[in-house]
Amino acid sequence: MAQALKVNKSLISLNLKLNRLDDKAGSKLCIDLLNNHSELQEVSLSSNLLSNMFCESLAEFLRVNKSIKKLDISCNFIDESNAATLKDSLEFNENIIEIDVRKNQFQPETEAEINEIVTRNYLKSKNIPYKKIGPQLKSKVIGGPDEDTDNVNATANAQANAASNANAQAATQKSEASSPTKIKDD
Amino acid sequence: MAKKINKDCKKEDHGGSYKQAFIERRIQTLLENHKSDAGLEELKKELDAARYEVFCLKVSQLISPQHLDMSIVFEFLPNLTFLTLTYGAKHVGMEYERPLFGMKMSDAKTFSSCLPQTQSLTYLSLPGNLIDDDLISILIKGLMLNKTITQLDLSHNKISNSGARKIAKYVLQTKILTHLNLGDNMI
Repeated sequence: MAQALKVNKSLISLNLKLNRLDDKAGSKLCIDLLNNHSELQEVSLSSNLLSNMFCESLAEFLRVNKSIKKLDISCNFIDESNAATLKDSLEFNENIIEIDVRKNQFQPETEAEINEIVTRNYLKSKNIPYKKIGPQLKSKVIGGPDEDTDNVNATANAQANAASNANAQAATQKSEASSPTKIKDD
Repeated sequence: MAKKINKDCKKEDHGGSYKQAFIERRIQTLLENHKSDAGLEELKKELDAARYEVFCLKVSQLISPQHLDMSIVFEFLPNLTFLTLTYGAKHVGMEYERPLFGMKMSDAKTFSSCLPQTQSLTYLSLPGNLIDDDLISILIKGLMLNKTITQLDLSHNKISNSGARKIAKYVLQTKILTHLNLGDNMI
């Protein structure tokens, strides 16, 4: 399968979720995609049997690849050991604007950091300046700090919304052309 | 029949037109509830009447175990663009029988032979058809000669590694496929 992807140029979305892809297959996929300058924009490898080795090759792949925008690797068996390299790659590659890493064996903090990096990329792609949301505002937006697993994503979304609202506001008011930093205004 | 036809029907799913939504829904129900070859002439008449109006079909069941010959659908509906097709029966209850479900060898052969001649089909979805490696090899033969399909969805089937290899061969030679969904298989 991977060898076909090596040559194919037309595919932009590939969904292989809920299969039985293991580390070997996953790494092969990454390596072959690496050698091909494909146009793939969306890849879903959710709910497979991927773990660390795959994470390593994924990180390598993401360092080079320019086309991928959305990546879903949720519900796999990736754990902490290679998280740092993955974070590095994501930091390096600004094209990735959506990632799903839920239900892996990451610590909640790692997951939050990954989401933060990608949110930053996303905002950058929309030309919205990145600003970290304060804790008191966060609790105001999502109504209480103690929410379960979706907390991280909710924060990311809330932040994106807040920022885009602020942007819209700034546009309508036609005030200073400087960056909209007063999110609290509304 | 008409009273049930508009359940959960959104015109947005049918090109934003109530007329199209009605016609497509009607054809859909007719195909889903087609029982035996006795009513085939009538079905053909209906299809002929709706000839240029049907763009999007979501056939979620084929009620009789002797599955309808899909070639008439392609023959009568040249404008068909989106096709979702599941061979199987819904809400069978106590009448459950194993042969009611899944694509058969003969189905695959007729379906595959229709694929080279499609004129406007761009989205083909065959979810939940128990397609295994043998069936996929038959289907791929048809797909190889197809020149219109850009989105292919083979999710919820039983394709394993050798089937995936066949799909790979297809992916290798196609120049227009943009979306490929192989979710929930056994690769």
